[in-house]
Amino acid sequence: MTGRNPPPLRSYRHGAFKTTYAQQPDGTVLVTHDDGREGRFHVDGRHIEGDLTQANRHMLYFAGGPALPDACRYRWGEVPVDLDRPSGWPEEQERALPHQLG
Amino acid sequence: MSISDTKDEAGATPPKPAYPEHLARESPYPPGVRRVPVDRYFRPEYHELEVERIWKRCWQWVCRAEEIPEVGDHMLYEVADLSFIVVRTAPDEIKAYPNACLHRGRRLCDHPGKRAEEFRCMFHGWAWNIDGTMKDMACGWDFPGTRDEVSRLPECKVGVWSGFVFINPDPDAEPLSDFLGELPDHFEGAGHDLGQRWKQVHVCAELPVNWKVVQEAFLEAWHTNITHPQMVRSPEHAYATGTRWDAFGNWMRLASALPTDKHRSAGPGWGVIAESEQQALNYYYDWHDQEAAAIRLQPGQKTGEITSKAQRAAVGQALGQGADAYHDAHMHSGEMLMLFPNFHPWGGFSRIVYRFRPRGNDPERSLMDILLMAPWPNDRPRPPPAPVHYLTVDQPITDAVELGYLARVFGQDLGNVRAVQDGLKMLRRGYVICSSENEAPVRMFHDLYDKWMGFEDGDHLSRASPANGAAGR
Repeated sequence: MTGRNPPPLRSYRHGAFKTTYAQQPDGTVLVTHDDGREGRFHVDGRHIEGDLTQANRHMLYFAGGPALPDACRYRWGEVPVDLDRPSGWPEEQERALPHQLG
Repeated sequence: MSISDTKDEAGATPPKPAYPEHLARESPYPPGVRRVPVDRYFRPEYHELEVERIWKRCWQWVCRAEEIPEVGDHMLYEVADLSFIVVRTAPDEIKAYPNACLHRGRRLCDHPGKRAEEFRCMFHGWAWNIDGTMKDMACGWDFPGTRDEVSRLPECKVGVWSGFVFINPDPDAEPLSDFLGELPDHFEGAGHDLGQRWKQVHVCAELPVNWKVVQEAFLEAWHTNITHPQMVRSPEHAYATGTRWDAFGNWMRLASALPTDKHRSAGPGWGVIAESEQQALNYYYDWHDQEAAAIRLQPGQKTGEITSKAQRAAVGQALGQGADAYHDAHMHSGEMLMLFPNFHPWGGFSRIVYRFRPRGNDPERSLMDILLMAPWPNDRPRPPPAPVHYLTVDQPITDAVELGYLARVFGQDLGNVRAVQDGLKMLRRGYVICSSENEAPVRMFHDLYDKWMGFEDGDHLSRASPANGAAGR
């Protein structure tokens, strides 16, 4: 996993609909279609401006919604385990999960 | 687990793990479209009947055995407005009681706790030993002729499977083993014991929707197309025709890519295909397009090679040994299982377990439990099980950062369920439609629901027009 700080603005490509979803510094998401049209949206799907007036709400959320600490960006089947720590969590994750340890 | 024979006893040819036999068992659910009346998702009459016919009669998972390791350790299990005390009464015995004092009905136990010696009511002080026998009938002289009827707390049936403690409030219920049927075989056949897993994560989210609405959002995979468009499929698997479901009595199983599979999808496959193998890999790990991928695929290299190795490494690290004994089918963990009414222990090494239940007596309020059960070596003591991380109805699921990438995926799912709860009330025809194949598990759930609710001959509570097939198929 990457360890950048601050994290770069997120961007995802939706191949089926030929669009790119790019998180903006103001918290909105810019959606760009391959045909050149653009639209800016709130994360919840509301259109703000631009020729492109509709977008996938879930992709907007994924690009512009909440982020996770880098230490927690794991796939669910690969959540780290540390056999030698009493908590079972590796130190990096342990710091990110204070509630986990009571 | 079974290991296939090797021809070279000298070890020149290492044994290859056999394809798990349990995955080869097929029992397709009968095809057909199912219409489900919408009333059952919000009308109080349904909730009241569910309490009587499902929550008071069905086997339900309540906690893990390691959460109450010592005699006297106890948990509370709450569903709808029901509350039960689940207590370890001996090293090898767990009991469960309705959480009510037999005097005036106050909840007998307010909190989970450790090493209790009694359950004493905080109203007038009547007390029972943890084994349910009467300990102290305060001012018993003032209750002539009643001692026999309060001498023992009524018991629920209790059963344990692979560390999961189940209760059934119905004293006449069938044994848990009968209710589970061949479910344990499917996990034993997987070659690893859920009973030995470590409960690494436990999140419980309160949601403003009916428990069935949220459960059904996790009962099929077809919604991935629109709800999780970032979950792209590798071009290598573009031929895949979706998922298949098999039904085994009170539970069902999703599996994909079965080499024995003769039951292929009737229609074209679904799923967003990645525009490149690199994109498939990046999105698998949630590396977005503006950050450098941690792994650059070499020409010709496939996503599956990387993800299989990574999953195998993670399992091997968690087990403290290699994971060579396990077939790739365990690694990819394409098995989603659901035991009626609300328990979802996924197969393989996916680690996921879900539970869904009504919260209080509001039919539009529910609790979703999410567990990640990490592999753990048999010869090492497990860390303490994770305490429950409760999320209020106003907290986003991404507050549960321990879920990792899954939290962001759930954020998408839970963005739907509130809209579903609202939209159901706007359906003039009064029912929703579930598909033959991709939504077979939702159909099966409602078939079982009808059976338990006494609706085999029609949903008599529904306001939907019979002409519209209120409970029709």
